[in-house]
Amino acid sequence: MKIEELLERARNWDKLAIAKLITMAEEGVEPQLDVRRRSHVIGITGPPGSGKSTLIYTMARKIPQDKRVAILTIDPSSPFTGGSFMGNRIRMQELTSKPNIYIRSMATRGIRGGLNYATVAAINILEYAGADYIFLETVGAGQSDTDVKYVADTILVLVPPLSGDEIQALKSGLMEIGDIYVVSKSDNPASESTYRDLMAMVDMVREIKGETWRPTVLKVSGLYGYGVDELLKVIDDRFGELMKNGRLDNTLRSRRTLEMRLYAYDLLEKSLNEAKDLESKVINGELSPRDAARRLLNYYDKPRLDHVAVAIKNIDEAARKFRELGLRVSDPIVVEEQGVKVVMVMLGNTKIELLEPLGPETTVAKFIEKRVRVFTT
Amino acid sequence: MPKPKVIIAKLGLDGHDRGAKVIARALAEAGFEVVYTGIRQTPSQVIETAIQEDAKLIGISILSGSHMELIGELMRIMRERGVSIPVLVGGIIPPEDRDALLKMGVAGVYGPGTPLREIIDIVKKLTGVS
Ligand SMILES: Nc1nc2c(ncn2[C@@H]2O[C@H](COP(=O)(O)OP(=O)(O)OP(=O)(O)O)[C@@H](O)[C@H]2O)c(=O)[nH]1
Ligand SMILES: [Mg+2]
Repeated sequence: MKIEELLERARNWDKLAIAKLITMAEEGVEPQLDVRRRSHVIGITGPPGSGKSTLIYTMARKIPQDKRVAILTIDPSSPFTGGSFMGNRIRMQELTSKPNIYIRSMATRGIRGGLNYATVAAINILEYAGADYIFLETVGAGQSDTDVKYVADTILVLVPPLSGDEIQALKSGLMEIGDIYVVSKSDNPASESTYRDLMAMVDMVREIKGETWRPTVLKVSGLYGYGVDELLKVIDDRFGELMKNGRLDNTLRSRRTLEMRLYAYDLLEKSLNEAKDLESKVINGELSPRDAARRLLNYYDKPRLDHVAVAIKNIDEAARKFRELGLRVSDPIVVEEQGVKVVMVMLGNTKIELLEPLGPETTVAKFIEKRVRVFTT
Repeated sequence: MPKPKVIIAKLGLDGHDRGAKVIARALAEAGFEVVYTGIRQTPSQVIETAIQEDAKLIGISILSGSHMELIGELMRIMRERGVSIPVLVGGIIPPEDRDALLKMGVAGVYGPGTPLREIIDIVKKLTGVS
């Protein structure tokens, strides 16, 4: 089937077409999609076993059947074999046959272990296909949590009933990213104290992050359904807000840049695997490890403008004006042997070198003497 | 590039999934992306899962004794939905049923004592992994 036909069919929520498009994206095809924001992308994270899949199942079941729901669940790939055991569907069996629900398991793939470019592409495809909700279950550890904030409109962090110490340990990472915190498995009596500890933690983090950070904290039980209606309401209200204040388009932009970064990691990994000749040069000492890395990334191969030198009478005055323009300007240094005072002005990947003569007999002073002032500050 | 995606499912009402899980883990170790569906699946759920996951092979474990009906239904739904990927069946299957299953279009039938190596090799062959 041609890609145009698949796209056409995907628009009608044809799951076979959606599935084929996602596979193509995984295999490196980049469909050009005109994505208009309509899906609420909800990242679900939390430690392994905290109840993520079960909660997604219960939420998806409660969402009205005229809404299209997509669920992407991410499992880690083995860094050695590339294989992955994907078991999140076990908790969602009953959703499989619901016409409005599409579920896809994706592996992290690659050395990095977070999301990969295909996950971002899958989100684009699902939004294009008209999903109202896209739930993204992460592996709940490491890189995936930093990545998810670039693709999700809302991040839901699950905290299972834990001891105070364990909550403290969560702080690094998970405590910074959430929009909604959920004490999961709230049918367990221990969740009461977890809820209190979590509230205290949120207040503490707010002192660092600022008053505007006001995440919702809720108790739910995915297994028994407690608190899930309330959670869905918080999620929908938030989506209304995001739509009103135009924040949805921000995520569309950060989704694009994340896809670029993740694809770059993938390309880098591939070229590392192919760089056997560089590897042997590093092993036999012909190249230093860092020089080899630079060569791999073509840092040396392209000629680059290093700097443009400008001779000037009053360097401090010029430096001040460049600073006023918002440019980064170095402190002046005096180079006695060349009879100049030097200031560097940084311009992206090149610089201007300002030179002020130290006396009338220096080369630079004579140079200025001979020429008209071409440079106005 | 990881190896193709395969589905391992338990059809029917019995709740013993140790064997199926062992196979799923072994295939993941061998580099496949393995979706494990869990127990008590219906044939239509399995096909629906294969479609949504765009799987390249289905491995079914059946211990309940009702393999003839369940696999018959599975193959019928596959034809109906236009899904044509290989199906492997594992479980306690009497020899006479084995031939009948192969006639239905099943790609292979494996009893409980089959070495994991052999299963990995046949999955590789059927999914075109060298
Ligand atoms: N008591 C209780 N158990 C729950 C609840 N939600 C999930 N569980 C159980 O917790 C275990 C893990 O649940 P999952 O939904 O698979 O958790 P997960 O976070 O998706 O797990 P991973 O994907 O493996 O990280 C299962 O045995 C669930 O039955 C709940 O609300 N209450
Ligand atoms: Mg899960």
